[in-house]
Amino acid sequence: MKKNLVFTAAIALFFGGAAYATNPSNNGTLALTGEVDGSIALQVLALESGGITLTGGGGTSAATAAIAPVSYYGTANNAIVSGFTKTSDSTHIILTGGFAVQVDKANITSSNYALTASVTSSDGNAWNLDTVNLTSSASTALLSGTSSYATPVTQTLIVTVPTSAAASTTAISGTVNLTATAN
Amino acid sequence: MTKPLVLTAATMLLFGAAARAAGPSADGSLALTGEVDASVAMIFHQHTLGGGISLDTGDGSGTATSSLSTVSKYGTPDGQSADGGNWTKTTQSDGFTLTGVVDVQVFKANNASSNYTLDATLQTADNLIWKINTASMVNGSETQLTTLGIYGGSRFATTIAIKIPNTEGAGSKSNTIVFTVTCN
Repeated sequence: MKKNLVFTAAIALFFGGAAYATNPSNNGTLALTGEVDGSIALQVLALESGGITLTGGGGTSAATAAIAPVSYYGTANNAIVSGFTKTSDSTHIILTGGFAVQVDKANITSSNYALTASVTSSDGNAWNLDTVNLTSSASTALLSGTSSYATPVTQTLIVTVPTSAAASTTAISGTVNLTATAN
Repeated sequence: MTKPLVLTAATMLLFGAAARAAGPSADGSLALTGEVDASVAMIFHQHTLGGGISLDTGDGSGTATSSLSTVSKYGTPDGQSADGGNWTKTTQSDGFTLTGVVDVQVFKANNASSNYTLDATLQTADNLIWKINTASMVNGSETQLTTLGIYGGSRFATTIAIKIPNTEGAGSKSNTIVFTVTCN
């Protein structure tokens, strides 16, 4: 028994010695997967020359503009009011102004985009963007539906005010909502 | 090995959330406000019925002119003179009078007014005797022509009478009548 005990002890030492002879190491992996989707961003810009005077939000997606007081007879036709050109027909004041929409893209192979618009307004005026009469529903695609990315695309806004409308500081009040969709 | 697997799963969830946040469309808006003021416009027209004078310029505008050409008490026959802008000459013992009719038309826009007041003022004092719609015109004072003017298609006829006294010296004469329309 004694002999056996000594032998056992020797084996234990041997295994221990083998363990300390190798540097400790271990392996691990980090497998990473993810999805990147294409995206686009829209901003409203003032034209480089002329056009609607933006009072706020130029270069963002939420711009504002205010038209100075205008009247059918008191404001000469072709006068420029806050960047809008005032004209008239027999029963309307017509205000026409330009602004730009720029849409940038990322991670998308789309070569152009379609822009639609609607208007949120109850002022009784007619709102047109380019040649499209705006309603509370999204319009058909403007400008043939193939606007180019990364460049300001001029949009022409026309607000037509009936002469039968009551004069008011808020006679023109509305928001043109724009939606760009990648083609 | 368990630890790396857990980390991988967590990373994938994070990317998945980012992907859902983006999309192939983008929105923007342009909010627009503006003030519309009430306004009226007054224009002159040649009176197409009897007694209408010729407007040399400004027919259909707010600034018109009419010329009497050359007229004299004894050299110009009474009656309407085609050569004298269709003014009608009558002769009195103390002078002669030229009478003519011109129409005023008033339009409104963005205005709830139902009618207008029209006044006329002689701009410059002279020695002639001016009347409009039979009312004497006193230089610098408004002569009221109507308080019930009708907007739009209705034309308001004004008859201008200019009496030249015998005592008035010969020569070129000119003056201006300023019409003022006020919404009631």
